[in-house]
Amino acid sequence: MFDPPWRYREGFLVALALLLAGFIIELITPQPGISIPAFPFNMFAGLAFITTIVFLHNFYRGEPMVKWLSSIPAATSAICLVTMLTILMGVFHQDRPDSGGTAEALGLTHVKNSWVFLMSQLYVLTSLGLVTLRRSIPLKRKNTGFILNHGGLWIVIAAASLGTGDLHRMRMELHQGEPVWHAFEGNGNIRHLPFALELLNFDIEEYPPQLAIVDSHTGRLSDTDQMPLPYIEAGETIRVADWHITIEEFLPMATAKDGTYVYSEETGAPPFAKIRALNRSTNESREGWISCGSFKYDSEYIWLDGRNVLVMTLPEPRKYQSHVIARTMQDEPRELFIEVNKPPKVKGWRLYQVSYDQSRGKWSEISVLEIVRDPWLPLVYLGFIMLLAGAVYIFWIGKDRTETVNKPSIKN
Amino acid sequence: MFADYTNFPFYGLLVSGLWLTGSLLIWITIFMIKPVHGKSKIVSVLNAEKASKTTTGMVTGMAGNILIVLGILLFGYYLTVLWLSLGRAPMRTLGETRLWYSFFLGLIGYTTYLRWNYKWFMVYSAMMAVLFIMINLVSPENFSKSLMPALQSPWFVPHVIVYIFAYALLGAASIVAVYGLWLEYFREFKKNLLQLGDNLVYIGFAFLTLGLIFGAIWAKEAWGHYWTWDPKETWAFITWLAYLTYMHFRYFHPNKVRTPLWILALAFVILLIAWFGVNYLPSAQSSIHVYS
Ligand code: HEM
Repeated sequence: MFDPPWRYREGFLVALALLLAGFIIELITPQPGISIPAFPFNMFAGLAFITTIVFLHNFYRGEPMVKWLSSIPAATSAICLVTMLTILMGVFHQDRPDSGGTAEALGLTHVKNSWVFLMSQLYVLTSLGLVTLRRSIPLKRKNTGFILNHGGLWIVIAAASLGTGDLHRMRMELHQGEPVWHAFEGNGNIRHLPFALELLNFDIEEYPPQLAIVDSHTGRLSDTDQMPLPYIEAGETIRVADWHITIEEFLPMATAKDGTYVYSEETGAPPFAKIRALNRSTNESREGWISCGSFKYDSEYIWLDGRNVLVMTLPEPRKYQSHVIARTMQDEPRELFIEVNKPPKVKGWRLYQVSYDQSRGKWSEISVLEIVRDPWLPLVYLGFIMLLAGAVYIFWIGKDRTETVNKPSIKN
Repeated sequence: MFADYTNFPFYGLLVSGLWLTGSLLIWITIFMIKPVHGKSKIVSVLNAEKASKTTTGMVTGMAGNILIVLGILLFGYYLTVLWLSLGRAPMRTLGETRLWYSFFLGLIGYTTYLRWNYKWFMVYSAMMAVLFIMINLVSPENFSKSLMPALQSPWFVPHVIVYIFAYALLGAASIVAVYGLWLEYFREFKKNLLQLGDNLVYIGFAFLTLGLIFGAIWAKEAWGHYWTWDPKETWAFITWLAYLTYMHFRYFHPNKVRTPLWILALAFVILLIAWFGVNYLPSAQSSIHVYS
């Protein structure tokens, strides 16, 4: 063993050694895991790593050790190490504050920031980097797919890991009419921002509410409601079990007036529907108003029999957005709309609509944003584009062509 | 009002009938073939060796083809109508993704059969597809028209379609694995079976990569970061790594049979965990991906 040529056994021993080394470092370092340093130190680390690999490739590519590092057995052991750690990450609940114990001490409750995971990434990057260089120099057309896939993946892994040093994701809570100059980090620390946001208005567009029958014994939907819950719209007739239900009137916002309900724009006015229900087997009938209620008004419902109740569900949001003004020290104020899936950018920060005051629903005067800065993103996307192109290449060429074009070059 | 989904039993049963009868007709032609000298009929047909067909064989084969194509067209039509009437892509719930899965299984089974002439493969794909249709018949899901804002993204449809296509291809590859293991341990293994496995995995893996990256880009737009190691993402990544191992192993050891077959079978188990099992893992308590 350990006499060249190295094969799988050595590969798995190297992986095991890295695993143990990772655990030991994790045990002896005081704080859990490792945090990647911020710019420029992460960039220096990256450049140093690249230099080392290029150096190895240039001057020592004939050495059995370097040759082995860019071979399938080394690659397989590296991929298996990452897979194993990822499986642990996929099984153990991650980043729970109260974890503790052996798993915590070894880094298994925070795999993605742990020393072992870092070790395994370095192993993959070394192998992947060396094989990419070997196939890229000299550049040959037939290696296009190979370089796109392996180089692209290398860039994604390297940029995503180093980038965590400069990645900031913070929560920002906006209250109508108050400019906010700060945000909260994940650990609760306050940070001041180079801009301020002021919420002018928060707006929700909703789907219509739905009609449901609830079993009062179980508190859940009755068995008869197998099908999609129907939307409540005036003029609709719905058949549920033996009931024939007609929606005679629908008011998207209404309040009580003189014993009936009328349209109202009052804050907190919930939707109301006038219902007539007829049971075709017993000929019983029911009539009245139902409403899902709001933070201000109670809900209204109709008993169909001793057990089943006809109710209106709370409408689901179709779209919500914050209308804000962004101010900076230097520039003109800017009006922005922040909507889910459409994050605008201010001073290098992207603004994501996350939440609002759920108890007040569409009358929320609060909007919660997540603001993100990730200067390494363009590099990660470059890797993504290469991987996408590589995938298309694989799809197009398939296995046969690559096989006949490239015979395995290392088979010792 | 919900005529579209209540129609599913009609379409589902009709498509199942067409596919099962069609693939059985195609399968039957095996027995109408004059065997290649020295080989059993089954072995020569499984491996697409040239064998002369009888006229009855041609007729049944043709009829089978027609039925399968009809099934594919009908299913495609149903999915289009469902999409239009829901007013959104029917890809939100587990039940809806199962519909696409059966559709693509039928489609892929048939194209694979056309391309490589594996008759048994058409039969298996049809049976798998029908199984998924039956699951949907037995447990229909709540189909609501509303689509939460995070899902209203241009990346949603490509992400899901590409993934389901990948899953269907890799599901097909797992059939190759099981069948190959059976042949290897109890019968005579044929090398071009692993080539079929490779073809399916290469294409499936390409789609898996597309799905993973579309998902990452979408997550960036919707939630602020492209990769959060959410349990669903984590398992999707493990699946990707498993097929990666298969591809590299095959490249380095083109002549081994058992190990790649076992990797392929195991990879599919991981894929199933990623697809269904994640919801039941302790790590999934706060996943954004758990289906409604
Ligand atoms: C996007 C992910 C990847 C894809 C699509 C991919 C695909 C491939 C393919 C198709 C081959 C066969 C060679 C050829 O066709 O030219 C190959 C070879 C190889 N791959 Fe990968 N691979 C990926 C990731 C990795 C990773 C993560 C490693 C290392 C940790 C790796 C290391 C290798 C090595 C060492 C070879 C042998 C190359 C040689 O001997 O010349 N690959 N890869």
